[in-house]
Amino acid sequence: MEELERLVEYMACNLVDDPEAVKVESSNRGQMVIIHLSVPEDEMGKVIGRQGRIARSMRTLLNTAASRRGMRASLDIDD
Amino acid sequence: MHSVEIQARSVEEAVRLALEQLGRPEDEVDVEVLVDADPANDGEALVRVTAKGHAAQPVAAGYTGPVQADRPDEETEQIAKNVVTELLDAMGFDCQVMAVDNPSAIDVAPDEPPTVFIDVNGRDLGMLIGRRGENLAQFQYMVNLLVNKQLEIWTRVIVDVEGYRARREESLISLARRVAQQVARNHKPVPLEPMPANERRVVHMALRNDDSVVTESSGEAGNRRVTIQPNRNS
Repeated sequence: MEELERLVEYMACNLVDDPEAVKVESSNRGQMVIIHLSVPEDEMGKVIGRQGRIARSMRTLLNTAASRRGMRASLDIDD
Repeated sequence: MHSVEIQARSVEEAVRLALEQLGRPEDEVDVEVLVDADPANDGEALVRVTAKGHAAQPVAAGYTGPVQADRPDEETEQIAKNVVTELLDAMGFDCQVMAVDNPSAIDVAPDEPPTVFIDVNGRDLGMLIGRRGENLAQFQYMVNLLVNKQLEIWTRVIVDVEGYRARREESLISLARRVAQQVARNHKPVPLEPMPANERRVVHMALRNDDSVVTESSGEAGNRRVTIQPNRNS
C-alpha cells in the first residue's frame, strides 16, 4: 500500500510546479486500496489534464502496479 | 543497429545484454565503460557497445540517401532513461532500460520533434503492455509528460516493452501489403480496424510507394481507421 502511495506521489510531484504541496494518503474500502491525492487548486490541471487524460494515465499505471502485487486500487483526486 | 547503451548490475552483465541486443560476438564490437558498477551510483554499470567499423562513421560528402534525424544528445537520452527506470521501479517492475537507435522501419523525419527510443526488457512485463498495448500507451504518455517537464525542447519518447511495438509494426506492414493486393485485384476499398494514430501512420507509410492503392483515414477520435482504396489514377 505504501508502495502504491509512493507511485502516485512520484507522478504527482513530478507533474506539478510545487511538489511540497502535494499530499498523498490511502485508505481501504473492502479489498480495494483508495489512494487520495490532493494538490493546490491552481495545479489541478497538471494532474488531471485535458479531458482527464493525465488522470487517466495515472489511474492506468496505478492499476497496473496494484495488479502486479495482487491488489486492487483506485485513485481519488480531491478537489 | 550499430550501437547500444546498457545499464545493468555489472559491466559483464551490461556487455552480455548489449551483445545479445546487437546480435554480434564480443570480438566484433568496441566496449566503452561509461559508468563502472560503483556503489555510489546504486551499483549500476553503464556501457556503450558499438559494432566495429561503425564508430563515428563520417557521412560521405554529397550523401543523398534517406534523411534521418540524428539521435538526441546523451543528456536527453539519460533523462528519458532515468524517468522510465524510476517510474517502473515505483510500479514494482525490475527491468533493463536502454536507449536505442530508431528500431522502426519508419525514419524520424527532420521536421519531427527529436525522438528518444527506449527499450524495456525484463520478466513478466505482459501487464505493462496490456490488452492491445493500452497500458503501454498510458505508460508512454506519462513518460513523455515527466521527461518534457525536465527539458527545454519538446522531445518525443517512444517506449517499447519486450519488442511489442516492433512486432506490431511488422504485422501491420504485412497486413497492409496483403490488403493492398486484394484491393488492387478487386478494385474495391477495404476499411481496416480502428487503430491509434501511430499504427495508422505505419499503414500509410507501408503503402506510400504502392501506386496501385491510396490510403485514407476517416472517423472520429477513438474510432479512426484507415481505408485502403484502389488508385483510380494508376
